[in-house]
Amino acid sequence: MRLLATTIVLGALAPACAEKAGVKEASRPAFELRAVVAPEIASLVAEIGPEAAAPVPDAETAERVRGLADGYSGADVRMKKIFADEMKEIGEMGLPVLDGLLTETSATDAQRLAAIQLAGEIDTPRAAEWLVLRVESAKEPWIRANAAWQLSRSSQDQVVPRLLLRLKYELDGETVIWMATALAHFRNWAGLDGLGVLASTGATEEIRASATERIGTLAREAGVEDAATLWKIWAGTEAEGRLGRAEPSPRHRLEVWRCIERLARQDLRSVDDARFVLARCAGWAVGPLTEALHEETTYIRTHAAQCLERMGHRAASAGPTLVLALADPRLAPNAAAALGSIGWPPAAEPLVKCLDSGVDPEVRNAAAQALGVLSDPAAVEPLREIVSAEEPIDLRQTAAQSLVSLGRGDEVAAFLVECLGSQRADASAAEAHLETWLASRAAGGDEEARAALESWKALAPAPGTMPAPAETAARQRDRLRILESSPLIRQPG
Amino acid sequence: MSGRSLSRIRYAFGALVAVLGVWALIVVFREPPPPPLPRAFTTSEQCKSCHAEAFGEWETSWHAQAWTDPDVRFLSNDFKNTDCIDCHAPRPVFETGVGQRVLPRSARQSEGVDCIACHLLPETAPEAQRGAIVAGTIDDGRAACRPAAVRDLGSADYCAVCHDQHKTVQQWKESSWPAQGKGCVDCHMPFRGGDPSRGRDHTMHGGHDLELVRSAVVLRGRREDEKWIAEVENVGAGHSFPTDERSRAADVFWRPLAPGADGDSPRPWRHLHRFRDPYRHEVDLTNTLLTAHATKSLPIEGEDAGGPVEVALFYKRKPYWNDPAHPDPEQEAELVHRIELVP
Repeated sequence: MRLLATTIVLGALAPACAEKAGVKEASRPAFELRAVVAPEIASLVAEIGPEAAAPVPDAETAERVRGLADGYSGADVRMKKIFADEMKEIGEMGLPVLDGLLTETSATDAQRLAAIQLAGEIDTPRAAEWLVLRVESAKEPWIRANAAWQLSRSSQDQVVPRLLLRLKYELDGETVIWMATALAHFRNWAGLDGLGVLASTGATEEIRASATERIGTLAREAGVEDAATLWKIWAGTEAEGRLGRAEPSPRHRLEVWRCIERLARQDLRSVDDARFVLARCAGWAVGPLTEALHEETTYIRTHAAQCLERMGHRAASAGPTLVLALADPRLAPNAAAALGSIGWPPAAEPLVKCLDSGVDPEVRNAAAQALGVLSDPAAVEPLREIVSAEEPIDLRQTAAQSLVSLGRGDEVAAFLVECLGSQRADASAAEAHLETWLASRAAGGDEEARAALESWKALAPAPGTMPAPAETAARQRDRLRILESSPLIRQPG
Repeated sequence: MSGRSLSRIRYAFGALVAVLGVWALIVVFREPPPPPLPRAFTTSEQCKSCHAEAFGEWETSWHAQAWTDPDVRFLSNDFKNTDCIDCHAPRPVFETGVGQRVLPRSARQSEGVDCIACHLLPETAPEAQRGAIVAGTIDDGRAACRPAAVRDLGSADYCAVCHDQHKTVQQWKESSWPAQGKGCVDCHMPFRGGDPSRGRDHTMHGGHDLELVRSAVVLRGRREDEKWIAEVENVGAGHSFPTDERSRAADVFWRPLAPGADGDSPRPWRHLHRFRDPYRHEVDLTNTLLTAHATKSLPIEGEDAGGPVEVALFYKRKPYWNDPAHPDPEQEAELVHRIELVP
């Protein structure tokens, strides 16, 4: 008879972990799993209804659209309004003609620009699809930038997930600026991140200035004093309260659910993309992601938990479900990690219970790490016990690193120095946390720490360079020497 | 001694023989003692005592260093790109199933791709239902780890759970190697000393083994219309050369054999071609990997190209040059092959 295969432990102890946490539902045999994604998608597809066939332009319409494009580029504001109204009247039937204009080699850039601008006047799902395809795949950056700008005037919010994904790959600064603008128009400020990067490291002075100006504009339009405050609100728990909640359209919700569905794909590239998008969706997406924690497909529920983890404090409302999810053996490690990241204070107690010996090592490790992120002082003593106990070195190291985050670096620095020099430990992680600890002591006015930190930083690789494995090993050895001989390191008594 | 005494001795001896006989029968026919209880497997260290050779090989392998390898740390931004964790610290393959991608784990990450990731069976596995704990090459209900012979362990689909994320197994499937009966383990996990009875080497030779890289390709040159043409042929890799999109690259450089202006030092290397599949954000680059069995012809052009030249193929495990405008292959890459072409 088998007693303790790891997989059995995994199954048996995660519910116990939740039970010890005092979760009311702990008496339930398991976290409820069911088909979630497929029914949601089916329901939204039914709500949206069947797509009508794309209208085909007759010769007369085609001629009209070409005439509009010819006249639009040189027209004054009043005439542009007239042309735009006429394009709205023609509607989606004009899209194939605009498509032709964009791809014809004989078309001038002015005609091609007019084609994009006129497409922006047709505010329908198909026109939005036409524009977002240009953002995703046009070779010329100016076409991508203009298509993104047109989307910032659209009411078709279903383009948000695709714009978010494009943020991951777009290299053209101007396009990033207009994508961020379009996203903000749909009450999603994830593009601020990219704008910040452009403002500081954009390729040209012009791009840096444009990004800086755009950040200010977005903050003003959101009714917030400055960009830093806007980012803080967006990344925090009050985004919907302070910035307003935009109700997603059924098409937008469908796109998000389809993104969740892609979490089950076999190629990690699709999964990575879906995780990237979902983690940057507005706060309302926490609802679908929390629901997806119940999905019977393992990949979907574990990756949904990762998305909540990456959303950070914006996903705080998922806290109660994530605590219940500690009862699901497969989900528990990811649920524990997410509970730390979302910063939901009541999570501290169940996470501390997950540190108990006998709980699955995966869950214990995730909980130890999460407690460091959560920064609850109640975690100090249990983490301290782990560091000093006969536990696996990786768990002890994780607990020690969390204690650094909790301001108890002095107690564990000696052990982390040991990890820095150990083949069995994660030297790079130890190195990073020792630097955090030194910096915190130096910031507190400790001259010894300041001097050690200076020597420590002098060994850092030059920015932008790639240290060879031997160089990394040598650096870690040198840093080890700095601390081994330092009075800063207090050996446990 | 009286007859009575003798009789007693005989009875006593008979009784003793009978007792010994019964004892012997019990010993021979009794139920064997129960095998030792299986252990809980939570770290690769637990495998070391019984499998010292395999553990020693694995310990030095790049599987073991999948988490700590400085190159990986750099390219993953110290794993801040958490998408890399899935394959660099995976949960057991059999947990999600052969042919299905792995999930990331949070414990023992510094063990990288460890014994447990490849061998531990989940309780739902058919072999586990019959009492096995790990997948191996033999069934042994008495060993502490209760191995079960699992044929999938050596299959390409098994390696695919991680390595096909960068299309390596797909590249192999599109080559003639499967038809020749050559799979992943034949090159990357050969029998120790070529002897099947000694089991397979767990060092997992791959792109870090320069000799294996050298055996994958040949570099040669030919003269055509007064011009040199360098050729690189993928003769031995079971997949593209190099495989693994993004991080691996191979570069062909050339330079005139005649010394430079100072009459002494060699001229700087001139870049001729790069074999690489770019990162997905590098949208301006295309996939230039050399597919299995393919040959790439590279005309050498430019000043002094018609005279004696030397051509070299370098291999890089990180794709970037410190100074892209002035790459220094001798410092930043490893020499695979070098040839001299003299008219």
